[in-house]
Amino acid sequence: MNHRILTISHAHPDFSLGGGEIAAYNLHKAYQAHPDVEQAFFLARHGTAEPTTGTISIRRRNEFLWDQSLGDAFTGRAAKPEGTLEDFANLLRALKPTIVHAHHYWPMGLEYFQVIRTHFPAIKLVLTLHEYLAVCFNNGQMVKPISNRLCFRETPADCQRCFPQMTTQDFWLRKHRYQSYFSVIDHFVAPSEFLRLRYIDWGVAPEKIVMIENGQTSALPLTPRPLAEGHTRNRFGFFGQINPYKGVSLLLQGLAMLKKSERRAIVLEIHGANLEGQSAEFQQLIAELRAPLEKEGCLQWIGPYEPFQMASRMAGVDWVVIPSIWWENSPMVIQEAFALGRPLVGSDIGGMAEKITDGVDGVHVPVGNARAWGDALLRLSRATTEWDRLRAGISPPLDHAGCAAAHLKLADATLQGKAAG
Amino acid sequence: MLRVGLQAACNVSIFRCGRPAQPPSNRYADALLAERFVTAEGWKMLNVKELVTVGAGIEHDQPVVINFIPVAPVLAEIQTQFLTLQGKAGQTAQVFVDAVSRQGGCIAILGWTTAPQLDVVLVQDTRKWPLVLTRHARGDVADAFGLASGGDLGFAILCDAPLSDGPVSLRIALPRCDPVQTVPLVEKVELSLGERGLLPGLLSRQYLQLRSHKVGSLPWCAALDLLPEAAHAPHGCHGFIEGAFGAGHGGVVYGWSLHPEDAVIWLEDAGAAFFPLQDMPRRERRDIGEAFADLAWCGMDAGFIAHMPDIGPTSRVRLRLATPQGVITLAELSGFEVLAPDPLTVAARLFDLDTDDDPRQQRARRVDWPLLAPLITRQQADLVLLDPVLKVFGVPNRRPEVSVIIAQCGDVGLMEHQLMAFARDPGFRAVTELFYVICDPADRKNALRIADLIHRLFGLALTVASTPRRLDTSSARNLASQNAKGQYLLFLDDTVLPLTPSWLEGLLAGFTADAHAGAVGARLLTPEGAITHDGFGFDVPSATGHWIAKDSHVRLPDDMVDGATAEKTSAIDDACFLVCRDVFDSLGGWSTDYLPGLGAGLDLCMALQRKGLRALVCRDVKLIQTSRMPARGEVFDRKAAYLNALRFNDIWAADIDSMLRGDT
Repeated sequence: MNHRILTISHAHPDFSLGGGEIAAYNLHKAYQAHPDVEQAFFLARHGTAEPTTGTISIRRRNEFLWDQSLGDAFTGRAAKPEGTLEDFANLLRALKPTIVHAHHYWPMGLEYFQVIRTHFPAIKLVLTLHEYLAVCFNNGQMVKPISNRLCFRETPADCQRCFPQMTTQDFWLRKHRYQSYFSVIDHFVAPSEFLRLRYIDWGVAPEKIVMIENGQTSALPLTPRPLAEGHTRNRFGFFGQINPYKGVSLLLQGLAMLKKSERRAIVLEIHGANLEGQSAEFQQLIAELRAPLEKEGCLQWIGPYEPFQMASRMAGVDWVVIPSIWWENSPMVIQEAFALGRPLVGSDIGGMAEKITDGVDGVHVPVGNARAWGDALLRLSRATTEWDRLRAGISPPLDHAGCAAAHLKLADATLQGKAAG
Repeated sequence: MLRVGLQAACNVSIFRCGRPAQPPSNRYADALLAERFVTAEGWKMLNVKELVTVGAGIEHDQPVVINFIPVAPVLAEIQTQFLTLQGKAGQTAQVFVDAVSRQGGCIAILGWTTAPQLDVVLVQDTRKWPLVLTRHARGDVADAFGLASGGDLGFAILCDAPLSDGPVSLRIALPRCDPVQTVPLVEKVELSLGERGLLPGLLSRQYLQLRSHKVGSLPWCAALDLLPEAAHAPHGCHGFIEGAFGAGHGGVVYGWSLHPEDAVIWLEDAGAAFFPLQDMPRRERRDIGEAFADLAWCGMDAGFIAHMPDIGPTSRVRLRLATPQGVITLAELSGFEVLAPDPLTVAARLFDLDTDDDPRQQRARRVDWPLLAPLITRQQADLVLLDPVLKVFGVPNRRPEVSVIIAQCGDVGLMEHQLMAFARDPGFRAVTELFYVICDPADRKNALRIADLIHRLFGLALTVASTPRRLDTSSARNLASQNAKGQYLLFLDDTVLPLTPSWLEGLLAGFTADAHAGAVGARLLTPEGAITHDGFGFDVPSATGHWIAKDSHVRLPDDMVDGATAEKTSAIDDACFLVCRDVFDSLGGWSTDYLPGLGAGLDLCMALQRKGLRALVCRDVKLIQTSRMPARGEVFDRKAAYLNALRFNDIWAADIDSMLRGDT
């Protein structure tokens, strides 16, 4: 089949380096390279003006930017429906895609799904879900506001307890709206089984949602970090955003709970970004936890990094830690660490528990338990042979080409089913 | 016979015939002989026998000569000049009569005297009658005589003896002095209210007369006219008019009043229409009771509310109380708050004035509906003349089987949800035309935006009707029905959402299942799956004493109550109401006699019953009914429902009795 695929992403990696947009863009590139794809296009939401204009501009050949945003974050309503009804529809008319592969839905508004279905009924519409925004109004975290307790179920009544200013009916209607627009999507893709099951619980038909892992850039595993005589695998690296859900504060608290003599044997590197965008209280907490540990030398605050720096930075650590206190989906850092041959230490919930196999390619730590994190770091810092065993247990992750192939296989099956039906 | 008055003025001597006679030596005797003894009105010549009764030892049939010997200034003038009396010690005092009048079987005399004490007797003919004399202040007299104080210079005489219509005189004397008889007193027809106020005994009698009549009746009004303004309210009687409002002609007045239970107290307008507080719905006013806690009747329901049909924005309303001392105005209010002539606005204002449960029905019938009903009638008369603006999106079905009519009167945001559901139901789209009527002109822009968006997103055709006026649900539905082409009309609330296709087919099946089906409804559920409507039954709770519609199975889980197709029920909710177009038209559409809320739907069901048709509920057709934040609050809705229930009962109680007996 000669597909014409339009990939739609909530952001462009030229401007934003979140996992979802990187995955979407890499997949677009993989589509471009695939022999069954006649042409691939990339449309990324990118707010350039206030108020939102709804217009679409050209970023580069086959790549477009859409100045669209949400008029109502609660209901997922587009700020500029005209942009969806006119500019977006016109783009579809011009590009003539056979498949629209959407990543995310949140910042563009849900209406664009219906434009595709009503005005371009032949287009196959696939949506890759990168978080739980339809399920949870708390930034899609499925974590209770304020307390940061994990949320295990979604119902309008439960959600209302998290947002007392709203009514139960508000949440029912929100779900009704999301499900109504989701009903026109031919297939959903979940990068993790955990996320897939969560959306099934929420109401997506099981037969309409499959798990396809995000693709990774093919790379040879890094060589083990050279150890001096008598040294151990005691260097841990955190890579990612620094926000209350990512667990950095928990990690620092765990370290602080260890004896000073125990901490001497551990080095934790923080390669993180966006702390400055967090609340003052959170920044203060991090500052207070960080200062004494840095002074002792067990904490090294390295700071933000660019994607191309990932390999060199990861080469300097033995373990990659992912202490998130929310469920996660399929964090890019897990696949990146595996691709680079670094075992993971991660919270024992959600996408982390699914992607890291305890005792095979990494270690699980009880979520939200600072002392357990401290103990885990201490134990692992002393066990060089276990590191070797876990590193050997790592399986190479799916690469971009494999990921594209999996998606095309899904699309073909759906198209054939549609044709047969 | 001899008039007592004359007797009081003269000594009468009677002599035998032949004795030298002394002719009358003053003009009074002349008058007596020349006129009254012989000819004048009712006067007659005395025979000897009669004279014996008044004289001394006269033999029968002997001629007599009457000799009048004046012993005092006879028959003193007292109404045109004051009479000077002289006491034994030589002191003098002046007396004057201001007014003499007969009032309700009494004779009342008002005057003044400078004497501290005065002996007075009322004389008619020769008879003396007891009287009651009271004293009161006369500052004017004191000023005229240069006295220090006007205290008690005035006097008021009241005599309720069985007097004839003839003239009366007074015999007046200073203590232990000879009396002076006045000339016959000149009477006048009426006393002024001020003069009446000086006659407590007379007022007491008139007050009692007032009490014996119904407030506002003609005799009551006549009695009221005779009561003067009292200077002070009686102890413990208080009142205040807190406000009044209306929307044009007629209004409601409210306030509070504390008074003995049997007090004669009323509101009156400038046109002398009277509204007794005893007939008004009263309500507890704890604040007033606490403020006057020392009163024996402080625990009474002090609050009052009254409908006064003839007051207007500039009217004066008074709260009046009758007492044995006269009438007192406890409170007064000029003008009232002018409300928009919108029944809902006025109802909201009415509902702000709470009433206890007991008199609620009384209040509804005497206050609320009398004020609201004309407004509703007037509003509806205006609304039927409206020509709605129709905005058509897409190409509607040319020959729809069903016209779906939705009065958009709540959250416009729900419109999108409803339209999405319709749009995703091919069966629905194939047989329907879709009307939205915007009830609130302020929602028009937003509703049109959503309609346009949904039409362009989904390709769904619909028509949005709007007017420059705010419409109630019934009016909106009637307006849309005039433009509807379907054989059936389906009225849906804007809160009702179908979740699955084919629900409309299920409703239509009700008409094929029962030849006598007049209206078909669905089971309505909350988003959580609890039943909100499953057909109505009628019940008379003891607390209300009137029929109320009771939801069947309400709040039960849907899956715990079996649902069959097309079951007969007493009535169905108008939130989902499928009816044949012809039948609907023959019944005149939705009743507009009710306040928005439960009422019109029940009314239409009863009208169907009267035609021999029945209401059915298809319990296998399940629609979601989202709740609506009451635009005017839950309390408003509850009170409006109560008013509607009363009106519904006034119209349909007999039919419901008949229906439940199985007559129909």
